Amino acid sequence: MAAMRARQKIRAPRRGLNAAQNDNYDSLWGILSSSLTEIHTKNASTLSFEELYRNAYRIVLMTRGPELYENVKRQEENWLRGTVQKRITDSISSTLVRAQAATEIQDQSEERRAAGEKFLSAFKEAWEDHQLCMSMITDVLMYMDRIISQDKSKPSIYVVAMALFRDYVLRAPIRADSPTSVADILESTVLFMISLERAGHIIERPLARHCISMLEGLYESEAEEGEKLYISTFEPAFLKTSKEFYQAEGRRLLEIGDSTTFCRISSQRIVEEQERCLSTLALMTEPKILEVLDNELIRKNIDEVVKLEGTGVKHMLDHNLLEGLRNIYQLNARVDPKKESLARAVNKQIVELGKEINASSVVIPQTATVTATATREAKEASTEKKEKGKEKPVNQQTVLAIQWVDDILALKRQFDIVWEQSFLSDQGLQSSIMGSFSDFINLNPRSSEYLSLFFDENLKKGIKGKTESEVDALLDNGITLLRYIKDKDLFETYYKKHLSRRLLMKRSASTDAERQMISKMKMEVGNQFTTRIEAMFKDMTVSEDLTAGYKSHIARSADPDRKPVDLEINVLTSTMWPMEIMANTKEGVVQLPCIFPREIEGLKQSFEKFYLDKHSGRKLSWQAGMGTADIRMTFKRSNGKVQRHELNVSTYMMVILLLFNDFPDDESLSFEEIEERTRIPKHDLIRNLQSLSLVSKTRILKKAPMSKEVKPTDRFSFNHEFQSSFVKVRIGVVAGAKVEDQEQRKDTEKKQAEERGGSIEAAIVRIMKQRKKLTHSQLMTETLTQLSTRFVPDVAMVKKRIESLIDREYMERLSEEPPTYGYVA
Amino acid sequence: MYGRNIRGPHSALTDFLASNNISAAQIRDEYDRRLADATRQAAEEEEAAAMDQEEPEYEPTPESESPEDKTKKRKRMQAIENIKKSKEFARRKARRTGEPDDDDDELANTMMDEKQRPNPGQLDNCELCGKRFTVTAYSKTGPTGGLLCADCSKKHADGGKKAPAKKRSSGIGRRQNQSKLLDGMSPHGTQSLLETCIKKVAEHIDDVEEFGDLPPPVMHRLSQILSRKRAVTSKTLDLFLRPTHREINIYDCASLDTNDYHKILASMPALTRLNLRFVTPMKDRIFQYIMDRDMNIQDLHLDSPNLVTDECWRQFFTKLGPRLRSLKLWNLDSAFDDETMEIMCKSCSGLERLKLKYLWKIGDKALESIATLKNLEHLSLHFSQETSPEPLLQVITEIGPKLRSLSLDEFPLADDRLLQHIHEHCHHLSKLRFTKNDLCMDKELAALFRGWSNPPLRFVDFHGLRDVDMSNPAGPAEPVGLASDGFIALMEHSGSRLETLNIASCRHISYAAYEEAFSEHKRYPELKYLDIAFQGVVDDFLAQSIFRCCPNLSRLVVFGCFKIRDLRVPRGVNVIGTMGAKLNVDGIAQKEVF
Amino acid sequence: MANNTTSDFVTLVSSDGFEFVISRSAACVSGTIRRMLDPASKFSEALTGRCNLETLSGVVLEKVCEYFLYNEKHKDQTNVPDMDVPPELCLELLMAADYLDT
Repeated sequence: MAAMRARQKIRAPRRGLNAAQNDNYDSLWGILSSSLTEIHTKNASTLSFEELYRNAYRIVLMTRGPELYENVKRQEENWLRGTVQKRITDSISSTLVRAQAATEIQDQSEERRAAGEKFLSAFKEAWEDHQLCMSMITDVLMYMDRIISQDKSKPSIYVVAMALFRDYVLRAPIRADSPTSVADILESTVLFMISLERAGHIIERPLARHCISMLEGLYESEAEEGEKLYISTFEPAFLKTSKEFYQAEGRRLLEIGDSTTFCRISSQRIVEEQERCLSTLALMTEPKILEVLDNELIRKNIDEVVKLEGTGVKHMLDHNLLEGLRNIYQLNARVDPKKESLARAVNKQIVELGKEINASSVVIPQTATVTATATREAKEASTEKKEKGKEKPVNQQTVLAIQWVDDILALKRQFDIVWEQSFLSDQGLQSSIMGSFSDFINLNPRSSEYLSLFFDENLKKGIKGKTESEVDALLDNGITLLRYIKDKDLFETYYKKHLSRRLLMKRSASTDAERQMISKMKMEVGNQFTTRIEAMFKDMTVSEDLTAGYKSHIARSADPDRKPVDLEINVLTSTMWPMEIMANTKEGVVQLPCIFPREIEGLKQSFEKFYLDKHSGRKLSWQAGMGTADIRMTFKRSNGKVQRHELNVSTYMMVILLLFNDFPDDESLSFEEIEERTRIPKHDLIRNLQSLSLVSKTRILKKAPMSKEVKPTDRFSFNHEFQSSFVKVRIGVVAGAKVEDQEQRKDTEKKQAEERGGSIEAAIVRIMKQRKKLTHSQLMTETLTQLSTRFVPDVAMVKKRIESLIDREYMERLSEEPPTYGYVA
Repeated sequence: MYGRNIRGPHSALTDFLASNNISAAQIRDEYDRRLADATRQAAEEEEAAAMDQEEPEYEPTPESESPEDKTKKRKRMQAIENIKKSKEFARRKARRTGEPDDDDDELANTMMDEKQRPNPGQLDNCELCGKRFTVTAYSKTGPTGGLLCADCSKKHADGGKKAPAKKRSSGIGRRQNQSKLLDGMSPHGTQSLLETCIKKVAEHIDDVEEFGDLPPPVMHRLSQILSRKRAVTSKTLDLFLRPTHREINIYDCASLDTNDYHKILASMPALTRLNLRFVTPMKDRIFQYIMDRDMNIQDLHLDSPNLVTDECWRQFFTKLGPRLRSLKLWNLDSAFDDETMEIMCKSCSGLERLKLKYLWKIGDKALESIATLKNLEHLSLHFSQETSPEPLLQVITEIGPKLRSLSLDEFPLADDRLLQHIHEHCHHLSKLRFTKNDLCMDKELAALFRGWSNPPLRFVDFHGLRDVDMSNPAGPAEPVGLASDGFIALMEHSGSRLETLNIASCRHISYAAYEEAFSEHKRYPELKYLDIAFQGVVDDFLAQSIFRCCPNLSRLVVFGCFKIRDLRVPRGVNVIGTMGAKLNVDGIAQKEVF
Repeated sequence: MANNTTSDFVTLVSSDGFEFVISRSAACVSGTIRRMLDPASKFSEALTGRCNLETLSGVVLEKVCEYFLYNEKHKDQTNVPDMDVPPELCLELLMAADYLDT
């Protein structure tokens, strides 16, 4: 088959038709050289691209490309050095040179401007021509470029030509022997134009833009690897003059002394500079010039501006100038992510306003003498007032507490609006504002109590007639304040106290609202906070069932003839309810249970039997202090008439009144006798007797002597002359004090401290159990963070607890330096 | 214009022809053949007419041929025999290589039929519509071998010509596709004419007598292709020997012998660049020759010259070393030791480029010598011995400030200090390769790029900088190798100029780091080649983000990125290494099948 | 002959005088021709839309034009087979491709 493979030989291509006569470097270069001149003098249309390209191609194929490269380079150099350079230097008028020497000559600005524009135009033209011609020449020499730049040792002829322009035009001296170069003039001229524009004149931007783009296209080094001239020369100069300009601008604006003006002009300048970078300079300068502006104009002055008397932030907040605040916010945000200047001013204002609110919460309208503002004085004031009157001021105090909460909420609303609209819902400022609120709220030592009272009041009365969403909003507001309160455990204590009263006395307006409140608290402060409160609710429902169960039990078993006493009972889990309700002990003395009258005693035993049948092993202890009773009373008037009234009284009153059943009408009992026979705690007994004997509308007992104070020697007798226009009469117990008095408060605080001690110990043990070994400082930090959701623990207290735990051998000291503890299992 | 005596077709038709997928070459061939056949046939007809009086114009089709018709048959057989001897037959047969070649007869038969056709300019009846028309060079052949009129040609062409084109493309399977991709060829559009021709020349290299005025880059490319085809022989070598050329590049010298090396040196006296690979047969004598002739070799690139002795190397470097601008050596195991290295570094003080790969006998000492090469701008090392980290630090300290490219492959003992030294001493790098190391920490890589006075890099290869602990795929808590922080720092520093980036197997770069580096407004305008093979976190979304951020990307390597399932690939980007993913290129869906 | 520089068709002329009228977009696959015809440079070819290619014979230029159209036709396809180049022409065409930057 080999014979069949008559393949054709592949021959080398024939050379171009007239290759022979022209294959001579000098003649080829001669043609090219004169053509390059033609291109520069804009006569390209007479030239054939193909011919030039072909000639360059031939030269390269003759392996004389490098020679061609050098020749072209030399020719370009000559052209630039001769023709172009002269054209440019001729366009530089003496005005420009003089202006260059002396820095600022304002009076000659018009003249300088005209001269500058003439120069820039000439420059622009030269640069454009050079670019266009070089791109044409590079196209023609494309083949040469491709081969030459193969090993990357030489840059493209275009790059070289651009560098030549830089060396022989831009960096040429403006006159022979002059130290000033064309580039210097160019730079100062463009900067001059910019300063004109900043002063409000209109300049020919495209002209400046063009020269800038030239600087952007040229590099410091040959291979286009070094920095661009724009970056290395013009930009620093521009930034330097800008810095000076904005320093002066800042001074000028501060002298005007109006923060609104400052903000307006600053914002304007920012926009101007952005626009300048877009239209005249380069985009990459934008961040840099804005940084200069931010630094010189804003950062250095913002603090002053914020503080400006009469126009600063305080003024704006006072007059709710949202627009102005927004401007300040935006300026401050530029230079400081935390916006400290603004935040400081805002916080100061909040704390000031907050202190006013705190102060007014202790000012009592009637007592003109009390004008206390500081909290310590407030304390004194409240002591003072407590001694004066009992009932009225206390109620007023409640009103004040609620007023306090309302005021804070109003303040909060005001700042919410400012925050939202002027501070663009800034996160940092939000927490800073929250911090300020928290600061002044915690300055008020009674804030937890006040807030709880606010809830109490609203849950009792406030929410009546309100829609669900209104209630929701109301509770939310309260919860917002709860967020600010540091000692949440204290709040819990008060809340439980108020809640227990609401529950036991059935004063709560809506169970739904109560539950809603609990779930809100749970969201805000966490589960552990609400478990006990929830347990209280659970007790209530269980008790309802129990009451019903007992009732039917009695109905079934008891003697149908005897009319049973209706019993409604609340069985409370002792650990879940506030101490004072459960208290059997007071100051260590065991208080014996109150002695019930026979009827009631029977009832009590019957219920105890019923209950313990169901739940054996439990212990019921009876808390008469919180109960009420409905009793029917018969009054034998002196005229022989008999008047009946149904009285709603506290359990203690019932016990006292039933006492008189056993005595003849005219006999009287002394306070001590009553105390002995009933064993009602003295404190309660006084209050109950006061209600029964002192309040004229409910005077069922006569007291002798008739004084306001109840003394142990006072005697009491039944008042048959009791008058009331109603059949049913409710007799309240005096002073169900809303705000605690000083003594109660101390009590609460003491209990609080004990409870806190427990929490701290628990936390410490929890941490140590997990970590086994910790240094003192680590343990402190961890403990403090763990507890911070509930309260702010006292460091000394934590230390004390650590000592105590070591004493009790829950943990041990491992070393002293640094102090380290270990867990003892 | 028609009347002129030309071989080529007429320009006005070109557009139309190409749009109908008609090859001008094919047409001209046919035309040539018809012309030639016509004359031959005329002669035969005369001959036949002399023998008997049968009517010659009408050629019966094979079906109508009756066995009884012996004269006809004999005549046909004779004609077929003639055809079999003809040049055209040989050529056609040659073109059909690959088909079973047992049926010479069939081919001859076909040709016989064809040559019965009328010549251009004559009249014929159309095979399909029966209309009478003038035959031209472009008249088509109908289904049964007759010619068609212009209208029918056009209609016929629609159905007839497309089928073979499709058949061709369907023959190209996934493997071939991937192979092309790996060769850097775009699957979209056509190859450049230059590339097509170079391939063709390479295919027919045995028929080429001389290359003529081919410029060096084209020669270079031809050499590459021939080497790959293992077609560089003593004979083809001659084509590359050009007295005026200053360089020679042969990538496969395995079939050359000592005489051939002599031939190269003797016929190219102006040689400054000697780039020969697989030169196992090269001996001391060749170097002796170079030294005797005092040749001006400036660039010496040799792969595996293993028969050259250390003595010869030393002699060569001492004598001609000062001229060397670049030296690249690969795969030397029997010679070239640390001492030779020392002499080399002493003598070749002008060396700007040095590349040493798999030189078995050199180690720490060699590194110390390299540190003395004060003019070095490009350094590329891949040692076979394990070297200690300190000498490498010395290299960086001494010559780092001048280096433009630095490539360190597999220095497993290099540690964070190397990076610190690079940060401190190198300020002109545009290329940096540092691979397969699991000692350097991510934070040090990040520190290398943060606040580095070096301008943005154009080429970065960090593949295999990662922790290798099979039992702990997530890597240690403090990331080892190029991980998230280092990657982000790298892109911040060099993103604006980066052209090539290889971070294959840097497996601790997190999804978030990718998201940040390729977030919406980031742009890497120069990036052309990106290799992220075995980056398991990369999914379709990230790949799409990469396309968005790299407008000039032409190659994306994603071996082992199994989360890439369905991609919209922008035009001009080659995605390499997907497994069964659905790629959608500008609306052209390609489902890879396994 | 089109005098209009923005005409969609251009004329390529071989050294031996053959003229090929071809769409501008197809011809501009060649870097050389593209620059030659670039309207921004004011060379005579750009003004007349006519390129005299002195280095290319008619045969080669025809093949080049074939390639231009082949390329234009297949630019939107994948896995396009190489255009067929007759071996005897391939070296000449190679030179032409190099010259034309195609």
